[in-house]
Amino acid sequence: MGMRAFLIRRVLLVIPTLVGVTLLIFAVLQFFSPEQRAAIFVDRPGLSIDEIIDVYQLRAPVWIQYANWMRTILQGNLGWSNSIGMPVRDVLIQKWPATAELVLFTAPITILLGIYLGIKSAVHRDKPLDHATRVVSIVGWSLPSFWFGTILLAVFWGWLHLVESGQISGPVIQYINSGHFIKYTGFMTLDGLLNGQLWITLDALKHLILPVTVLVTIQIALIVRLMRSSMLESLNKPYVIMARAKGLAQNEVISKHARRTALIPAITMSGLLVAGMLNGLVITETVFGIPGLGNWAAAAAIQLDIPAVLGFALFSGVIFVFSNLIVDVLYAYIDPRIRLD
Amino acid sequence: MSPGSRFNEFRVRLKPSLDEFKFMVKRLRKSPLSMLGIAIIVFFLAVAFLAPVLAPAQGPNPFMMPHVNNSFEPTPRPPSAEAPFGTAQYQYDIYYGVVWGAITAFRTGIFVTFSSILIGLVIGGVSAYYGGVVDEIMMRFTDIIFAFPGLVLAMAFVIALPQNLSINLGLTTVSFVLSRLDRVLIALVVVGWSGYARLIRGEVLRVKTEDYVEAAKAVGCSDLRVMVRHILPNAIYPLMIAASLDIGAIVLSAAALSFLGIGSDLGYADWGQLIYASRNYIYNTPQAPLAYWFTFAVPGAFIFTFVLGWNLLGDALRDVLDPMLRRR
Amino acid sequence: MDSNLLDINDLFVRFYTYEGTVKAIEGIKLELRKGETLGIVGETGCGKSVTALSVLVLVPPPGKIEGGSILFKGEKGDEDVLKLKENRLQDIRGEEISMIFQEPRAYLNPVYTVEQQISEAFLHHRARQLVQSIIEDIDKELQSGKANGLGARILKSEKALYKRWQKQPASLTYAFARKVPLVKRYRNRLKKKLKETTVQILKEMRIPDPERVAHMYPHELSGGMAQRVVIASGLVCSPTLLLCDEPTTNLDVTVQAQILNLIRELKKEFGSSICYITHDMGVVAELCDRVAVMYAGTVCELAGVREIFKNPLHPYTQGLLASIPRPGKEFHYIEGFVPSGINPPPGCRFSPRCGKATDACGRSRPQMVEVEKDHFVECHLYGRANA
Repeated sequence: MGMRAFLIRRVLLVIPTLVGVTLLIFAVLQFFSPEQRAAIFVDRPGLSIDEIIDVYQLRAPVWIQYANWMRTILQGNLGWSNSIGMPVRDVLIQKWPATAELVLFTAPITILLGIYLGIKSAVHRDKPLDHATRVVSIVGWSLPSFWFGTILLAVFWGWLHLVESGQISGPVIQYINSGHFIKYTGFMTLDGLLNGQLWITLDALKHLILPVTVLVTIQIALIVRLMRSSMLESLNKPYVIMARAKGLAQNEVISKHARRTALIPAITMSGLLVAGMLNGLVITETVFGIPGLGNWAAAAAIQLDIPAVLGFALFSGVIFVFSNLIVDVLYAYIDPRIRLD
Repeated sequence: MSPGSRFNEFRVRLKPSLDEFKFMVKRLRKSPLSMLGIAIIVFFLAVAFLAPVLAPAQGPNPFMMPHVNNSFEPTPRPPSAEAPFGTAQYQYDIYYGVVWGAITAFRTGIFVTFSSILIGLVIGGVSAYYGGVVDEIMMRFTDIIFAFPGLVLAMAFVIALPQNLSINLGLTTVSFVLSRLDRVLIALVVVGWSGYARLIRGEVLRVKTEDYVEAAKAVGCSDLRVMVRHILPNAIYPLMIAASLDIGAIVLSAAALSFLGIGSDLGYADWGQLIYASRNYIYNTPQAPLAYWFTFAVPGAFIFTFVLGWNLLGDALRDVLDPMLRRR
Repeated sequence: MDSNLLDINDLFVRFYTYEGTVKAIEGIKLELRKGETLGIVGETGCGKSVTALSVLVLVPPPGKIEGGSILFKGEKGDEDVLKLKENRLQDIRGEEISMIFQEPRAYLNPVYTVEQQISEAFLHHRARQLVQSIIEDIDKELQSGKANGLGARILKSEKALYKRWQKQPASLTYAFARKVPLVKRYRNRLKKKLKETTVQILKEMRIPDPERVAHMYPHELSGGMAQRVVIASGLVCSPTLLLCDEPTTNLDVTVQAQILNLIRELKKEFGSSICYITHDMGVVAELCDRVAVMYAGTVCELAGVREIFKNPLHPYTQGLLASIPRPGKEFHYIEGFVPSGINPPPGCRFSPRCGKATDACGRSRPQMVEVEKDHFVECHLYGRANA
């Protein structure tokens, strides 16, 4: 079939999946009373609740309501977030860089370190490294993120005063507000460099160390275990024996033959990892006080700020649909058999 | 057929499965990590069963933590004779909370896993067995829920579920009052069944094409009989692995929801709830976060150990069963 | 013996599994002469494949070679394969001794093309010669004067890279150059040469349209085609000895005939000796010069093909030959089952099923004896017992 046809088909598949996501969110929405649902249809205060209910027919049959809701969404109106006093759409735009920065640092480390440890564990099966990696990853996976994060904070902040909570420290905030600072991307690490203020970048990195450590420690188990078993299976495959019968050296056999096919499930897992990270982010951002989307959603949940929570859920859904798309494309690139589908 | 011989026939038929089971247990006993996991689970079982003895109830609802010295003082107090693990905000007895919290943890894990498996069985089984368009649609739906970030969806559900749930069954209306913990449980079930549905579907698909299923159908077995007698027994082992790993994950999720403040009620004996109660004293006092370490260290340690036990068991099971499953 | 290419003596291979120790090969003796095709016949599980894997020291864990010697007369004279270091073994594998396997599409890596997999072995073993001939080509181009200033500069830098590779195949500069987009163009010469080699050997495998096949992936090939590709990758370095582990068992009968024919012809063209493993006596009759019959990890009988069909001495061989179904003849089979590898019967392994077994057979294992010229049997009926 070839890559091109596969790509087109796969991209087109995104649309029904996105529709499915909206249906899911809409289903949750229906659990609320019309009064509670009102806030999701307007992105600025002004209309009274009754007016909203009339205009958006919040008592009409579900399909009409769904159509109305889809219409407002496609117009860019995601509702009003009471907990923060801004339209949901604006909150998403404003806060996503902080969250994305965390993901940008966590994901590559988790994936690369996880793959490396997984391969090494498989190649040196049942040796000390294998056992140690296994124990560490099970322990990491069992840690409650809020507990682990808090302990790290207590030790490194409260006791050792090496780091602080939050995204950036006070002096940096002052500098940003002073007007000399241009927000190019919203990523503190990047903006620091782009503004020529290296100290800001370093400060942001200092604040990232602990949250990234927490996220990596907890999630690395997924990749390590998967990579290990996938690699073990791969090493027993007939074509690996064939490669050795051709006289190739062990590392070449591993890196050229065993590894490539073993990576395939790890890539799928990496896609799921990004989705899973959204879970961890809610807690981690709350624990470390990082002004991202997770923090906002957590605060919103407890205040019953429905548009915020559902807006966040919708956003998460969209993210996972696209990360799955990327994963599937990568998968087809690496494993030519998939393209036949 | 006489009952005696029917029983014998049952025993004969069961023997290979029993042998495999015994082999699995033997392999498990050899692994120190799995033994540790089982030991941890047994320990918590003991705590849960002995709760009324270890921490006698002091009110009509044993799951509401008592206030030490009947005081409602907000500031936690360090461990003392009356409160071996100290007190949390509003003087809740932490020791009492963690002991009865063990019961809550088991309840949460087992109820959610059990219900999820049930729903997953039905949906996954039906979907795989009938195949075609039914399968496609159900699986798309399941996949969306499965890959959706679980905690986020659970958050949305927990705040969406009402306090009073009325189901109109035509003749009567059944009403439930949902406590906050109940809502957490339901939300986790809604998020959790999809994983099992996929697992069951995978197993059913795998077995469906095996020759012995075709043979059974050729002899005239009904669909249901084939499903129960042939397909389900084969799905037991992967299910066991998934379930033991899942219990830990569920308890973590429930604790996370409590930590965020949308979990069980304040004062309920739940490990996550205890951590929530400690939030004010960790975050808002950066100058002395270690002073109240016991308020979050102790309940957190219990959560961690409990989950660790189940994860060790699940991981060991996976190790042992993997080659066995592959032998097929 | 001097004309022996391969001399297996007293080989022991054990598999340490959870259920117990499987005694896969118990002290066998085999010899393969230069230029001949030796067949190894036996039921599934008798140890044929393990024997072949032992020659290349590729027995997978939990298996371990526990004793004996395998003498190979290679480029460096007589060597005991079991005592060699991994470096030398890697040189031998694929270059002097090659192995092809049973299910071709399983033994080909699904994510690489045919060309990549065939040229892989060639590149690994002939890198020096390849690079040398490329450098000579570049020199010729430089001298011909066709290239002008910039072109000549590019050629010179390519030559430098290749020379660097020649001297230090593992140098980092070279490793980097392989990945950097523009620079890696220099590899095109190498790729072209490899492609030529691949197409050439595919032609020799009688594969039609070799240029197209070279770019295909294993799952796009038919069974027969895939097996030819596997054979190609085995023969690409013209090995002295080719080990074949049931390469035609999974193929259709017609394809099987084609492949057997191909192997016969290739043997003449390449001059390799062949060790052919199979469970099919018919294939043995067609292809082999001598044949060894194996049972439960031991060699029962070893003789020329004509001799064995005419005069089978060991009861097991007799049973095998009698079991070949013939129209009009009643169906014959050997009673009993192959013994477990963990608890083999004491004494002769075949004795529980043997119609002619004596008491001695159950007690001790017979020694291999040359009953007639070049006809060896391991059976109490013919020789003296092993004390």
